[in-house]
Amino acid sequence: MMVRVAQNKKIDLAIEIAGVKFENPVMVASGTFGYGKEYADLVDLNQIGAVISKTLTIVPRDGHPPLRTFETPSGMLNAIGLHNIGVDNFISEKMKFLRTKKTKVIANIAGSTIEEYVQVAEKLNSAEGLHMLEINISSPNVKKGCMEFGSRADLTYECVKAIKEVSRYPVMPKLSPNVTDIVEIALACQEAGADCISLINTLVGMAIDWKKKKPVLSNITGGLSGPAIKPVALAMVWKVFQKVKLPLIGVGGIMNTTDALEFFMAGATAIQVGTANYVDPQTSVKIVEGLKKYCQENKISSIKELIGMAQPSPT
Amino acid sequence: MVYQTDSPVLENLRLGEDCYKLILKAPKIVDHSWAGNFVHIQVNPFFYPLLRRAFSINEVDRKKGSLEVVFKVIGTGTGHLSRKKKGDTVNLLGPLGKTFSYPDNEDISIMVAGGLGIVPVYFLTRDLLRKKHKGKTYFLYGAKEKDQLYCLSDVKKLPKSKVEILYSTDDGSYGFKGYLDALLKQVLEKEDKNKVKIYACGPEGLLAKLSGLAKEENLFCQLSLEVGMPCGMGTCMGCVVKYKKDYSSPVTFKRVCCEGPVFNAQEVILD
Ligand SMILES: Cc1cc2nc3c(=O)[nH]c(=O)nc-3n(C[C@H](O)[C@H](O)[C@H](O)COP(=O)(O)OP(=O)(O)OC[C@H]3O[C@@H](n4cnc5c(N)ncnc54)[C@H](O)[C@@H]3O)c2cc1C
Ligand SMILES: Cc1cc2nc3c(=O)[nH]c(=O)nc-3n(C[C@H](O)[C@H](O)[C@H](O)COP(=O)(O)O)c2cc1C
Ligand code: FES
Repeated sequence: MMVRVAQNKKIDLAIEIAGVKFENPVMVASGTFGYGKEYADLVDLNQIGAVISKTLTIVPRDGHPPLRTFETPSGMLNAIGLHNIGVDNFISEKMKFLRTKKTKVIANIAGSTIEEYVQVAEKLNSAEGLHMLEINISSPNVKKGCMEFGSRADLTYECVKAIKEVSRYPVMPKLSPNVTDIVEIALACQEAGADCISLINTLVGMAIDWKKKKPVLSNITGGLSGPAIKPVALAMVWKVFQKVKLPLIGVGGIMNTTDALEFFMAGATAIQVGTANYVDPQTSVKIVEGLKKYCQENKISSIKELIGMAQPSPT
Repeated sequence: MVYQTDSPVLENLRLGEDCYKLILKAPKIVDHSWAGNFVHIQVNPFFYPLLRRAFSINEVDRKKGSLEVVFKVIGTGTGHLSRKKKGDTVNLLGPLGKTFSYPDNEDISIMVAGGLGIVPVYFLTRDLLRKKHKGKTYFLYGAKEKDQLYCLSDVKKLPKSKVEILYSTDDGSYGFKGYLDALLKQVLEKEDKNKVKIYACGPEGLLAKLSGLAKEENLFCQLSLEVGMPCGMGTCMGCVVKYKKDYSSPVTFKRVCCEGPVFNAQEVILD
């Protein structure tokens, strides 16, 4: 029951960010879609705007011991610890398949130091068929790197700038909600030359096994995702849109078309589907279909008309 | 190939206190399902609970295109499933995971079914019977007490001429009094260990003991593991088990959903 998107010439879902033309504004979020091929039996990747890889590091990582995930009301906690195959294996094993698809390919990268981020970015310069880098400065589950950089404007600036200097691809820093002022971090990205910004990564949370009298996750805390975080993500897109000029890619708890519409109206140019892929692998394709239908019914010829529609008009 | 289907409930049978057998129509999944495979069930479309729930396949009817899952109500997801009625539908992903490696005719198979861990090894046994497997087969079925041998009526239907069935209960209310691993050890004493293939599923404690036993005695033993599985498709990296190929290899993590759920008992670390 692969969902097909109805062809309709009149509705234009295409968007362009930093010269990259996305067939539609629906992407699948890092860490929730593997390296793409895992879902190929179930989802027609040609119908998705972009596939974003699991975070890649300079060498493969094994991640945290079990238990790594736990379901919470309307959400889930995860502390995977960036378990990934490493950038070299991604280039040699995973790109070949992704290249055969119409979807755009975005590599999500991280490191323990800024040098490591730069090394990963440099390696990806040779990956044929890649379109963009997403910079993970926001995962809450590792001791070094990621949120360590993304929670300080000066380190965010340094990290993004260093990657911009070496990468041949447009760069999309991914922001953490676990900060006092996300606008400040977004402005640092803009200043450092980022091409767009994705937000948000997961919120720090935890659960305690009251029977065993200890935390459920081996890492003690984890990142909260799913419908529970949608209002938080939406408010952050809303705020950043008001101060930052870069295109925003909204992510956090998007389960269906109406969730996606809220993000566009708050100011997102595109959206990412994360946890919802686990619930229904077809979610992203269903949203593409739903957006078409919405535009058709409301006589909207281009999805771009929706961006920031709910924002107060400039005075 | 993995399929996603809206599967009608054909029957929901109560097997005992809080235990149910759900029969679902899913022809495409059934066509490709073998013992050890599981299905990932979205219990309802309202995101409550949010994530899918994994269930091993208990039996298939390839002609009817139906499959059975047997489960115990332990929380929200299984609670919802227990209330499904004929004509309701649930969304399935499947078949998922690696299967048991089926025995050859020369092998002596010993099925070790602890509680609801009976599910995948029952499927294996039924499948061997269908394939007219000639090797000797034991079926060891244990639970805390007789009332918790939920699948007793199915097990009793296995042909005694082909399968030697032994029971255990912790309290001695049915069959051997004691734990399943003690019963297994009795069987092992009678058989040539080099020809034995053990297939097991059950509570964590049992599987940990079997893993230890397999390592000590260098036994062929496959375990079907159960852990929480957000995606079931190998993408979230959330379902890992500690793994060590042999004594000289480092400890790594393997995904239970796609690199398992069936593992060689000697290669996993269950603590
Ligand atoms: C491969 C596989 C096969 C299974 N086969 C069967 C079966 O045949 N019969 C049966 O009764 N049960 C089986 N289970 C266990 C079944 O999935 C759980 O009983 C079920 O998820 C409980 O859901 P709940 O919402 O009722 O419980 P809740 O307690 O509300 O939720 C359980 C939550 O914890 C997670 N979780 C934590 N520990 C486990 C664990 N050990 N196993 C599964 N999920 C866990 C679940 O994913 C879920 O998010 C199997 C599990 C796996 C992984
Ligand atoms: C299990 C899991 C693993 C994730 N791994 C990554 C990762 O490797 N890199 C990253 O940038 N974000 C990762 N994320 C965060 C998601 O990409 C997304 O930002 C977040 O889950 C919020 O969106 P959602 O509510 O739609 O899931 C992960 C999320 C989950 C649930
Ligand atoms: S359940 Fe997601 S990788 Fe196994």
